[in-house]
Parts: sequence; C-alpha cells; structure tokens
Amino acid sequence: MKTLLDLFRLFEKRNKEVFIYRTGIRRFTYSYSELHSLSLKMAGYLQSQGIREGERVAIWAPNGPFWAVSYFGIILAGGIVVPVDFASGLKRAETIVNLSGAKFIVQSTYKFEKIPLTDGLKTIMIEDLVFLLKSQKPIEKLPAIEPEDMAEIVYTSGTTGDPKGVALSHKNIISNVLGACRHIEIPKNFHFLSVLPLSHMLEQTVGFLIPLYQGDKIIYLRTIKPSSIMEALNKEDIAVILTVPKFLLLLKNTVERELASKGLKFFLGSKLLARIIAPIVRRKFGKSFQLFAVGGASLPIDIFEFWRKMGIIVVEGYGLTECSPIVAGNTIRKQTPGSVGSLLKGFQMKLDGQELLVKGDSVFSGYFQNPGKTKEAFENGWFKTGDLGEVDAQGNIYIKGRKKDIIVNASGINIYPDEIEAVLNRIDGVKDSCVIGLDKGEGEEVHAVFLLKNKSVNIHRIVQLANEKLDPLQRIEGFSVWKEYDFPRTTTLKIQKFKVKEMILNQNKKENSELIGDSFLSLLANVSRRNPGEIKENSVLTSDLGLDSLSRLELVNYLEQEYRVDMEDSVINNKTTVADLRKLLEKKEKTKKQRGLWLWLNNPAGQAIREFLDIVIQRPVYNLFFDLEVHGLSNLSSLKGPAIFIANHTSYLDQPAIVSALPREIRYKIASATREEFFFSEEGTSFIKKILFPFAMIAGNVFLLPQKSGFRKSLNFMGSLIDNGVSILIFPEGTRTRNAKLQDFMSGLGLMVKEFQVPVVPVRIFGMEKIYPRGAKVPRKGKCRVIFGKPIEFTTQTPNEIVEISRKAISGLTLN
Amino acid sequence: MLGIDLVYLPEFEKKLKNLELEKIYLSHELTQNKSLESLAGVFAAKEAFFKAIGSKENWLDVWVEKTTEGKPLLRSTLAQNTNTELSISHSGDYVIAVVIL
Repeated sequence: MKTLLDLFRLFEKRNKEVFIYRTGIRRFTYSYSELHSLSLKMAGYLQSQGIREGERVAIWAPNGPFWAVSYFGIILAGGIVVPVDFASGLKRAETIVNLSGAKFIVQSTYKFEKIPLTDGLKTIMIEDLVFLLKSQKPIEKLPAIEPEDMAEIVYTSGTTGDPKGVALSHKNIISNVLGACRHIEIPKNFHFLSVLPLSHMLEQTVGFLIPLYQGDKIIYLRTIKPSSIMEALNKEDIAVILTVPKFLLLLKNTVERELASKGLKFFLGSKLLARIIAPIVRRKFGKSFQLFAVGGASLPIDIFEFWRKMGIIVVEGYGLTECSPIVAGNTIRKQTPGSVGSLLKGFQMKLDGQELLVKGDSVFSGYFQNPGKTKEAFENGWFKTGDLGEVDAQGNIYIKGRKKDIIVNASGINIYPDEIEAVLNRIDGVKDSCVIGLDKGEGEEVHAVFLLKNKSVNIHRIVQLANEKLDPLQRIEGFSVWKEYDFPRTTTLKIQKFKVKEMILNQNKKENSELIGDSFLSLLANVSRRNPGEIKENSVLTSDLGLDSLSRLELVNYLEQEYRVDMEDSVINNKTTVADLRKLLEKKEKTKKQRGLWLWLNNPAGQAIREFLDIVIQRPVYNLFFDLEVHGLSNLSSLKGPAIFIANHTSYLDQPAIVSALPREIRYKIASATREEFFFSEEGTSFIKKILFPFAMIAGNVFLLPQKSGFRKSLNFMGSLIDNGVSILIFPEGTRTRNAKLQDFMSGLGLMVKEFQVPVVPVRIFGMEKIYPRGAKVPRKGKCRVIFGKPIEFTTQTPNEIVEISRKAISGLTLN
Repeated sequence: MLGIDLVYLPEFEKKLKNLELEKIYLSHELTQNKSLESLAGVFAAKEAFFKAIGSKENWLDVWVEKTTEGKPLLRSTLAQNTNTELSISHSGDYVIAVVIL
C-alpha cells in the first residue's frame, strides 16, 4: 500500500460496517462498499463541477460519514484535500481557501457564515450530499497517483504574515498510517469513537485512516456532548477514544464528582480500594472499552495514573502536522508515564543541543508555496521540530519544552502569539501586550499580559473587544495587567517572554483566585458583561445580571464546555440565581421517563407473541366486525426497509384494520402511534383504559405519542424503532374525523420525516366511519377498504411541505 | 395566548458566532434564512412562542417556514392542533416577532 488510492481499493470487497452516525434520534450505518461507491460518486460530482487533477478542494465541515466521502471523493477526482477546522471562524477559513487556491469548498449548513463565492469558487453543503449523490454518476477511471504526489495541505497558521500550509504527500500519510499502526499495536476489531476534528492530522491518521486500513468501525456523533458520548459508549461497543489530555481531565473530574456525590470518593484514596470501584466506573464506558489514545498536548502523570487505577490505559504519543503527524508513541502493551514513548519505525531522530530533529518517509517536503519558511524548517535534510527533548537509555522520549514562540492549546492546536498581539496592540488603551501560553495542567491556555496606557482603562472591556475580533481558536482565556513600567526586554527591545511567564506564574501561585478568579464567576462575568465583583451569589440571572434568552444560550454553551454537563437553557428561569445555577451544575438533573415506550416489543419474541395473539384472538374478533378489502399492495414491493405509514383517521378500528391489511413481513414489524391524551388524561385514567393499554401495547404494538410536551422522547423512540427495521403507523390528523373529511395534519410529521429519512407510505381507509364511528357504542359489521399508495421519498423539503405533500397523497387515494 | 420578543441585531450577530446553530435552528431554517435579520427573526419568533405557551422548551420543537408568498408560518410539536399566527418585523438594528396561539 503506497497511496490513499491503494487504501481506497481495500474498501470495495469488504462486507462490513465502516461508519455509525448517531444523530441523537437515529443511528445510520454505512458499509465499506457504500463508502466505496459514494466516494466514486463524489469524485464524479466534483469532476462535473470542473475539478481537475492537482486542484485543491477545501472541507470546512463537522466530522461524519460525508466528511469521509468528501475526502476520498477529492482524492479520486485527482484533487488535493484542504481540511479546515470546523471550529474556526469565517476569516480564517476564507484565508485558507484563498491561500490554497481552492476551487471548491464543502461547507456546512450549520455554520452561519458561509464563504462568499468569488472567482469561480463553487460550493456544496455537506448535509445535502446524502440526497445529491443518490442520482450522481460515479467516475469510471481512477486517477494515476504516485506516492510522491501531494494528497493534502493542512494549514497550521494562516491569519497573518507567513501562511504555513503543510503539504503532505500520499507517501507521507500512508507511511505514517502503517508505521503508527504497527508501533502502537492496535488490534483488529477495535471500534473508534470520534471526538476530535478530522481536520487535524492526529484524528485523521490515527482515528480515521488507521481504522479504515484495519477494516474497523468508526462512530460519529452529530453533536459531540457529554450525554451523546456516554450514550454511544453504552450502546456501541467502543474500544478506544482518541482525544486530548484536557478531555481526560474533565472526564476524571466528572467521575470524581459523581463518586463524591454518592459518598464513595474515599475509594480513590488507595490503590486497593480503587480496584474495587474501578469495574463500576469502567462499566460506564461499555464492555469493550480499553484505552484512550492521547496526543496534541502533554499528559500530566496524575491523569495517567488515575485512569490506570480505573483499569483504562492511556497511550500517549507525540507528533506534528509536518510529520503526518505521529513521530513517537507509547504502545498498547507498554506505557512509560511522563514519556511520549519511543520513535516510530521509519523515522530517524537526532538532538541538536536539546532540539529534536527528525527525518523519515512521513516528514513533509515543504510548506505550500512558501520556500522561505520551508528553508527555515530544515537543516541539512533534517526537520527541526522546535520541541526540546531528552531520550533515555531505553529510547523513551521526554518532551521538555518548546523553542518556537507557539502556544499549543489543550486540543493540540498551534496558536501564534504574534497574531494575537497584533490584534491587541491595535485596541485603544493598550500600550503593548505579550501573549503567553499558561499551562494549568490541561494544556496551554492563551494568556494575555497587558501594558496599559493608563489606569482608568477597563481591562474587561478590552478583552471582550479582542475576543470578538479574534478567531474562536485564538480566544484569550486568561489575562493579567503588567504593573511595572515596561516588559523585560532584550537589547534589541524584544520582550523576554520567558521572564514575563515566570513572573506571571509566580504571581499566579500567590494570588491565584484573585487573578484568574473562580472560573464559573468569570464565565458569568463574560456573558453578562459585568465585572466579576458585581456578581453576587444571590444575583438573579435574568433581572440582576440582565441575561436575555440569547445570553442564556451562550452561558449554557460555555458551561457545557467547561463542566462537561448537558444543559438546556430552559433550566434558567426568571428566578434562577447564581447559587441555583451552581447547584444545578453539581447535581445532575434526573430526566423523567416517558411512559408507553417499550422497545422489546419489537424483538423476535415480541413479534412472535403478536403473531400468536393476532391469530387466536384479534383476527376472530375483528372478523365479527369487518370484511377487509385491500388495494395497492404492489406499491409496497419497492420498500427495502422500514417506512412511515400515514393514514386518515376515522375510527378506533383503523389501526387493527390497516395492520391486518399489511403483508405478513410488515404486519408484525410495525408500531402504531397513539395519542397519549387518549389513554392518560390529566383528569385521571379510567380502569378499563388502564387494562386496555398494556394489551394494546403487546398485541397491537402501540406506543404513546404525546401531542404537547414530551414529543421529543417519542421522536427518539421512533428513531430507534426505525433503526431496528420497524415501520411506524401514524394518524397525522391526530384525532378521528367528525365529518369523514381529511383534517389538518400534525406538524410533527414533517419533523419525523426529516429526522428519520425513510419513505412515507400514504394509506387511505374507507368504510370504518360507518362500522365504528365516533360516539358509537358497539361496531356494526360492514366492509372496510384499505388502499396503499406509492411510497414517497423526501429530500430537502421543509417540514410543512412534507406535511402538505403527504396530505395531498392521502386525499388522492380513491377507490377508482 | 400571546407572546412577543425583540432582538438587538449587533448583539445577536456577535453571539451567534459562538453558538452551535443546530441547537437552535432546524436545517431548513438555515437554508431558508441566509441573512442575519431573517435568522434573528426566526429566533425572536421562537422566543415569542415560548412566551405565549408560558414555558421554555427545546428550540427545535418550534420552527418557522416561509410560504411561497413569503409569509412566515410558525409550526410546533408543542401545539400540534392549535392555530398559530406569527408576524415578524425589522427596522434598523431591531427585529421583533409576535406570536398568537
């Protein structure tokens, strides 16, 4: 295997799953052969858009199966991938697109700011690819690719001055995939959960290309948040999460907080006691979970030890984008705490003073269109990493510091202080500034030190202004005011940053709380735009701090990131105080379970019970009341999987009649939605209904669909039904008709169709309004006709359009 | 029931950059509303709806669509069978929305 094309060729014959995409409502699966054919179609699409060999195509989109399809599509079209971090702002993305000369960009609907299309630049929304590629022709001929050809350009800086687009060849990437895979000794059948952005080489090589090479499965989440991560761990048999040290620290804090709240924290006190609690902690990660692989920033030893006590190993590695990226790593079998492990095969390393210099197949050949920077980066063919390190007798590498003035944040992103300083120094009131990386045990934070023009300047205002101007990735996280007349400087007047840093660190230790403050309070101060001093524990968020709905959303967003908790902004009401919010953060809110949602009814046993009850009880009973005549069954033959059946509603007997009319292979694999208000009203539930409901659930596979609050839980439930191949029958009118006419449809239908992405089958039922109409005490025997229409596939229609089209489809079904 | 909400655009623009849009907007809302004003209008409409029903719920359970004539429609899973009326207006730095159930 020498190129990404060779890797791609492996996909065609593999008969297994490659991606799981969890939207929170549905779980979409993709097989290797689907990835293969979708990528060929994507290449065809790109070529139809005018992309030729050697041209650059940018991807500025969140992780997911279609990121992968875009990636391979670009390669197959002969193009060069330019990945852009989805978290970066418009300015940065636009600069990268311009610098790389990209002709096409894959963007996302979920980014408000889109790159303006000028100079023949074309674009597609990644969310639309799923529909667009369905009818797209694949390319027929694969391009001729040599190992030395450029595969992608990854920008490590790019807003000002010297753009550094790391140009990586197929050989660079593939040699690193093979080298890292063998070195770390990743076993087969090891499922990856993806949480880091695919625009970073760490995630791309280790979390994407390695599993694809090994034939493994990757789980992507539509929203990466604590609850979705825990749910994925619970349900997906995940073995490894590739992440950054900060994530492990936050997770450690969560585990400790949870144990403390149960009074079990003392178990962490000794190794022996920890061994007792470890299996309980580990169970939360699922039965196959084994390890965290970390890189990007240095891993504090205590975090490593904590997880080791819990029986989960942490494998730390070291790398740089310029090296595709893994240079060294610990292995699954052996970890040396504090060390980034030993050098990968295929690399050579030497020390120049203390600086690490490397050479090898994975080392890039230069920065894109920047010979000056390229020249600076190499010395006699050796790449200067800029990192200082030591190597012990066993070959373990220890990283000791950095030579270049770069901040490497917790996610392993390089931040260039000079770019930030340039912004700060232009702000009114700032005489000079110095941006340093402060490590508080979880990767470096961007810390700005200000030299102000006079004392009356409002420093909080300045930081706010600066953060509005900076790219989200560069945002200032901590700051201090330099109290002396000037910064310490060299004879050439350059700021001696190491001295500034030393003094800030010392100062920090002394007055830690005063300077950085309580992170919770500083968050609140930031969002409410007040000085931290003004915020009291009994301040009411809305009235005292003036938080409007938008600020509440912003606050909740920050809290989620900081505390790794899931929150909805609806928890903050008109009376919530600062202290209340603190309490909310500490104890997790228990969610109320929605009743009437039993998934087990849809397993083979449930289906068998249903078939049995159907034959011995329901059929004979129903035969007493109606004769069934079925039309349009041939329309159902095109259905390949589950569907949403929608029908008009005339009588309580509609549901059994329609289910009976279905062919056997669907009849026992369909669940019917019923109005929650029918069985359970606020005025109380009658005894008969209490008995009837469990029977309806078991025999009729009925579930509750509330029409007011609680709809979302049922939506999730229906999502899992569809995931399990079960169709759904709903009556979108919500209630039985009073005059035999088709009423308005529930708007929720549109939302369901959009989320589920399955066909809609219109169904019309006639005759039931005479057999058992509204208000009738007992049914009267008669003839009932059920007509099945052609399945409708929806793509980019809006929810209301879906509702209107569906309604027309039902009213269009007539007996002639 | 009645609800109203006013959005100040410069503030909205700044905050929008930091928020995860998929928490507030459904995908069709993002494709139908490309300008800041119209996205702010949708936001105001959702907030006005929550005020009308008297409780704060998930942002994704209520949404706005444009009819072919360009009139905004408000739809929600929280008021499936209730008639809803929505009106949005914009002037200078402000966007306002009124919802009647």
